[in-house]
Amino acid sequence: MTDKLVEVHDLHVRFVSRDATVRAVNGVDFDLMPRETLCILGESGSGKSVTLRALMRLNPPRRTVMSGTVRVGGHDVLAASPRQLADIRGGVVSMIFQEPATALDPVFTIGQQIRETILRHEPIGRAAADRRAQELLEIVQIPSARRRLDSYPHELSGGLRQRAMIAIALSCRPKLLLADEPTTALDATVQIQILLLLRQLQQDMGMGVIFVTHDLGVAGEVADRIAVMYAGRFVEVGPVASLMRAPLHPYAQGLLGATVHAGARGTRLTTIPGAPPNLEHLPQGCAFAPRCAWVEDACLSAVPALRSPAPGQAARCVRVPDTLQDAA
Amino acid sequence: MLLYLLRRTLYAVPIALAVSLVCFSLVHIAPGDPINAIVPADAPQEVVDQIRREYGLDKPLPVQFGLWLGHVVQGDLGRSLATGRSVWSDLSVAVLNTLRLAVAASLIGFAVGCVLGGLAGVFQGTWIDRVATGLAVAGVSVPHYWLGIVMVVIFSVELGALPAMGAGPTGGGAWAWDWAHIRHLVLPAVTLCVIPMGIVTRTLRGIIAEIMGQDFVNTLRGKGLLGRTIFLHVVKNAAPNALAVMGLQLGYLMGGSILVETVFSWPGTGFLLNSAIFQRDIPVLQGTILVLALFFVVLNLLVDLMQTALDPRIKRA
Amino acid sequence: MPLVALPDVGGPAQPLLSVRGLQKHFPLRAGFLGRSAGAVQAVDDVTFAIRKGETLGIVGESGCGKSTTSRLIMALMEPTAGEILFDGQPIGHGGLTLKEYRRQVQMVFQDSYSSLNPRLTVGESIAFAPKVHGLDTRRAIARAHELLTAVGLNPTQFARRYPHELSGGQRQRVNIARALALQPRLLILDEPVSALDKSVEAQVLNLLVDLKAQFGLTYLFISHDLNVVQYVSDRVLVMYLGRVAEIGPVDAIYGAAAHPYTMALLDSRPSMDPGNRRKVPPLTGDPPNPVNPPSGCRFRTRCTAAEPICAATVPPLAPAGQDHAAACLMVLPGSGHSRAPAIAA
Repeated sequence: MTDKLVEVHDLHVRFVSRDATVRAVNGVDFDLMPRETLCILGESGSGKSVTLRALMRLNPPRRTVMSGTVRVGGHDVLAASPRQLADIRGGVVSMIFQEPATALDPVFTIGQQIRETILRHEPIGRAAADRRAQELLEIVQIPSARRRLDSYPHELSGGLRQRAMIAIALSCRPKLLLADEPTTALDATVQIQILLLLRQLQQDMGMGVIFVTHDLGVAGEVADRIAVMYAGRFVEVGPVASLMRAPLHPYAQGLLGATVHAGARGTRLTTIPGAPPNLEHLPQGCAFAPRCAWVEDACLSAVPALRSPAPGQAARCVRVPDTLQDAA
Repeated sequence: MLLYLLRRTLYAVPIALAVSLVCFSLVHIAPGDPINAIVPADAPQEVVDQIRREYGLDKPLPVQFGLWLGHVVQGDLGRSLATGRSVWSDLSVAVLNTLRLAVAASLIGFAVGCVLGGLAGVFQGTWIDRVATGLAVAGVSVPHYWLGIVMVVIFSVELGALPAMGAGPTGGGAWAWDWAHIRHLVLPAVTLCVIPMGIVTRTLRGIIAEIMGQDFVNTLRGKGLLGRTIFLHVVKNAAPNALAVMGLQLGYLMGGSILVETVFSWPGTGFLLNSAIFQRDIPVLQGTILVLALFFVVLNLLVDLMQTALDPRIKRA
Repeated sequence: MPLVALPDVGGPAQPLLSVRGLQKHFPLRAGFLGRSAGAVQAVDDVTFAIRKGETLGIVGESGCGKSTTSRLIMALMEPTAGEILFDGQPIGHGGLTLKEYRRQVQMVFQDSYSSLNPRLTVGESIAFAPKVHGLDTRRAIARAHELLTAVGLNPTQFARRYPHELSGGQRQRVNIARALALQPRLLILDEPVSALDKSVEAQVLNLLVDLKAQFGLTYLFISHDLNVVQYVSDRVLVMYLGRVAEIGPVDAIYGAAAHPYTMALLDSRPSMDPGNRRKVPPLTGDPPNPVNPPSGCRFRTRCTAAEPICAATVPPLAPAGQDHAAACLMVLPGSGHSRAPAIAA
C-alpha cells in the first residue's frame, strides 16, 4: 500500500481582520496519491485558491488562522517551523500561478530566478545550476533556451512566461505540483499546449498534481478526480468521467448546465438563481440551500455530511443515497 | 543604450538654455530700473549714463542676454557690486561649502529614512509602522530654522559641546576633513536632514508596501526562499523609484538651505544669497541662481539615466 | 426633446454596418531622432458587413486585432485607411456626425468595474447619456429605472447603489442598461462575459438574447471563447494577426471550417469527454507579434499545409460555401497551392 502524498483532514481557514472574519474554508478532507491529478473546481469565492495555498501555508500570515491537519509528502505543514516550511516550499511542493506577468519578479532574468530556486534547495554549484536551468527551459519547450535565460519576464509572451514559471516550479523536482488556474489568462491554442505539457511532465517526473480551475472543460482534460467546491466545502467528489457525465450535487449539476458547449445553441442556458453566500455569515445548514430547487427541511438544520452512493463518489446532499451507510 | 544616453544629454541643453534665460530676466522682470541698484538715487545724469554704458545696460535686451551668456560660458559671472571681487571666486567657495553640508545632511537623512521607511513598509499596519510614520511627519512638519535654533540652544549654549557658527575654527577659511571642522558640520547637517528623512521615509514606505503586495512576492515565498533573499528582491524592485526620490531631494537641499545656513552662519550659497538679496547685489544673485539651477538640471539628468539603468522595463531605445 | 427610436434608413437589404479595407497601423519610433521603425499592423485590410438584426461574432486570439477593430468601429480611434459605413452613410466627412453615430452604436466592455464611474450611482450612470442628448433629468431617471428593470435589476434596490457595491454580474447588467439608454441600433459587446463566473455568464448571455429580441438590436459580439460565440452568433468572423481568416454562418464555421487556423482553433477547445482527450496540440508556439508579420499569408509560419506560394501571395477571401469565405490559397481555385481545386471549366 503506497503512502499517500497528501492527507488533508478537517481543514478550516479563516481570515481575521478588525471588521469581520471570513470563513474561507470550512472543513475540507481529501487525500492524494502519487502520480494522481485532482482538480478542485469552483467559482470565485468558493475557497479553492485558499485551500491550495493552505497546502503550503502561502496565505497572508498575519490574517490567516488555520486548523486541522495537512500532511504533504510526510511533512506536517501546519506544525512546521518557518525554516522547515521554507525547505518544503519549492523542494517538496511547488506552485504555479494564474498571471505569469505579475507572478515573476520583473527586475531579474528568468535564468536568475530559476537558478536561485535550485541553489536554495540543492547543494550544487552555480555552473551546474545554470546547466540545469537551461535543461528545464528545454523541457518546457521554450525555443532558444540558452538565450532566454537572459530574458526578463516582460520580454516574453504570455505562453512563454507561463512555461518559464513551470520551469521554476519544477526546478527542484517536487513531489507535488499545485496549479492555481494556470491557463485562465492564456489564449485557447496556448492553453491546450500548456495543459498537454503539464500532463506530459507529470508522467515523466511522477508528480502528484492539484489543479484549481473554474472551467469544467479544462478539468475534463487533465483530472483523474474532480472535487467541486462551494462556500468553503467540497460538495461533490468523484472520478472525472462519472462526475462530468452525471453529477450528483445540485450545484454541480447547475454548473454543468450553465457551461456553454457545442450542443447548447438555440436552447436557453440553465442558470443557478441567486448568488453565492456571504462567507462572513454562513448559514447553519447546507450553504447551497437558498439557491437549490430541491431544498427540504433537513437541508436547513445542519450541514449535510458527504454521502457516498458508490466507492470513490461522494456528495454533500441529503438526496444522495449513502450505500455505505445503508449497508451498515 | 549609448545612443539613448547621448539623446537624453542633448535634451538637457535646451533646458539649461531656458533656465539661463529666466535667470537673466529676473533682474529685468523686477520692478524698477536695475541701474538704481548700482548708483545712488541723487547721482548726476552723466554719471548714470556712464555707468549704464559701462554695465552694458543701454544695449537692447537680447544683446545683453547674448553678451551675458557669452561671459558665463567662459566662466566670467561678473563682479560683485558690494565687494568688487569676481562673483565666481566667492561662489565657488560657497558652492563647495553648501555641497558638503547638503551631502552630509542627505547621507544622514537618507540612511535614517531608508531604515524607517523599510521598517514601515515591511511591517505595515503595526506599531513599528506608526512610530516610523510619526517620525516622518514630524520631520517634515517641524520648521527647520526653529529646529536649528533649538539645537543651538541645547548643544551650544547649554551643553557647550558643539559650535553654533561658521564652517571651521577660523570662521571661513579652507576646509579640512578633521574633527575641528567636522564638529561645525554636525548641528547644521542634523537640522537640515529632517525634511529629506521624512520624505524618504514616507515615499519608501509606500513603494515597499506596494511591492510587498504584488504577486511575485508570493511566488518567492512559494519557492522556499528565506526572508533575507526576499528582502533583496524587494530592494531591487524599489531601487529605481527610491533612488530617484533621493536624487531629487539632494537637488532641493542644494538650493533650499538658506534658512539653516543663516541660523548657523554656514558660508554656503544660501548665506551668499541671503546677503546678496539684502545688498541688492545683482551679479551675485544672477550667478548663484544660475549655478544652482544648472546643478539641478544635471542632477535630474543623472537621476533619469540611473533609473533607466536599474529598471529593465524602461525602453532603452 | 424626448428620445425617439432612430429610423431605418437603408431598408432590410442594406447592411447595418459595412467595413471596407479597414486598416490601423500604430507607428513605432526608435533611433536617435525617433525615426520610424516599422509599425504594429494591428488591423490590416479587414472587410465585412453586419446585417440588420443579426449577431456577428468575432473570434481570435491575442494580437488578432479584434479589440482594435471594435474601437475603430466605435470611432474611438481613426483608421489609417479604409472606410466604415453605417446604414449606407459614412461617419463624418459629410455623412453622419459623431454625435448622431454614437446614438446608434454603443459598446459594452469586458471590465465591468472600470467601465463605470465610481462616483456616480448606478442610476445616475445610466441616465447620463440621455441627459447629454437633451432629455430632462426627471425623464432621464425614469428611463434609467425602466432599463434597470429590463436587465433584471430592481430599480428601488439598485438605482441608488454605487458600482463597488455590486457583484460583477450585476455591474455588467448595468453596463448593458447604460448602453441601451440611447436606444441604439447596434451594440458592440467586447468580451462582455469573459470576466464573469460560469453561472453568472449564463445569466448574462440569456439576458443578451432576450434583449436583442425585445429591442430589435443588432449585435457585434467579440470573444476569445469559442463556445460562447457559437451559442450567441448567427455568423462568425475569425481573425488572425490583423486579417480576416474566415467568415461564414455559425454552423458552417463550426462544422465545416475551411481555414487551417479556424480548424486548429476549434481543435484547441478542451474536450468535454475525459475518455477522448487530446494527445497533441493542434498548434505549437505562441501567436506571433503584429510587428513585422510574416509576408503573404500571415498564418503560414504555423500552418502544416504551408507551401512557398503562401509566402509570396496574400490570400484573398475566396468562397468556401454558401455565404462562407476563407482567406486561404487551398480554397481559391488555381491559386498555385497543390491542394487548391482546379478552376471550374
